[in-house]
Amino acid sequence: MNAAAAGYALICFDGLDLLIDQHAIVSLENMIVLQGKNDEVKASEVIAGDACEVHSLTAQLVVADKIDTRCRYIVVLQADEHRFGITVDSVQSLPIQDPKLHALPACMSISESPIKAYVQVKERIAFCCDVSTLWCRIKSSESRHEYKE
Amino acid sequence: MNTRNNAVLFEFTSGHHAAIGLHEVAELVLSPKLIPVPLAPDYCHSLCIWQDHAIPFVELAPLIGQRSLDKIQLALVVTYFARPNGEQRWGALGLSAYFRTVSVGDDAACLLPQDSSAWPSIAHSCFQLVDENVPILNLDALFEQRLELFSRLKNPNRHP
Repeated sequence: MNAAAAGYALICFDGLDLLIDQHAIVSLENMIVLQGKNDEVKASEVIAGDACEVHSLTAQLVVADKIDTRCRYIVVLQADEHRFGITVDSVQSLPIQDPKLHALPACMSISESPIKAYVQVKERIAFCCDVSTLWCRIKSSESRHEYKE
Repeated sequence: MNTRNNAVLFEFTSGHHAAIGLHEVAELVLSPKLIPVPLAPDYCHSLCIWQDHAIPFVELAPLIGQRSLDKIQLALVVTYFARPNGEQRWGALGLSAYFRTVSVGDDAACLLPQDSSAWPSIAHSCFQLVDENVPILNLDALFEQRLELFSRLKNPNRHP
């Protein structure tokens, strides 16, 4: 793979840089819009008005037990019929022109992973994330939580 | 027998060694710059930034059921030719100590270590060094496929 990576937004959380297709981004919200801003912040919150689930993810794309209140924004994403939000530290366009997407090395590639490629920006790596696969991962994680309960 | 050193011997975790051909070594990197890859397997959890390129970083210990290094301070950058197109590629191996060069001849050939079922998938062959069977790595097999391997014998949580 060596396609141009134009049309992606760079989002950052928990030290991870992710590239998201800009067409999958519905809106960018301030964390203030989250309801229930008390000590018992849950992993899934609802944005006032147009309701959707909001999750915080770790750098290993694991759904965190609690919303990371240190994040400043929520990126609302559209995955097929599903709309969901993830908390992020920052959102920006790629800071380089004509970036190249590189496929992950074969030894690292996992079919169920939303990460298939990356862009290198000097000593920084931004991973290209498929939003639909990410949503499936979040839902399967929720199912495991429910099963535990 | 040619007594010139033709292999690089390295320790990848305490008491465990492997070897590669001398011609496959590119550079030893101190304090490598590693970037974790989300959801990647334990044995190749990061990309290593080397000469402005991102190359896969592999630790052999998790492949044979041993613990990963607590702190990765040494990476051996290696090069190989990927099948089937013969393209030259690079990767990095985690080391727990400095490597040394050795001379390996056919007369030292032996069976692969029996401590893991992984070795036949990632090693060309093996040689005897004192009382240790040292696998010679097949770098194309190590870096160019997704390995689903588990230790057969070594499980630190299992009591005899």
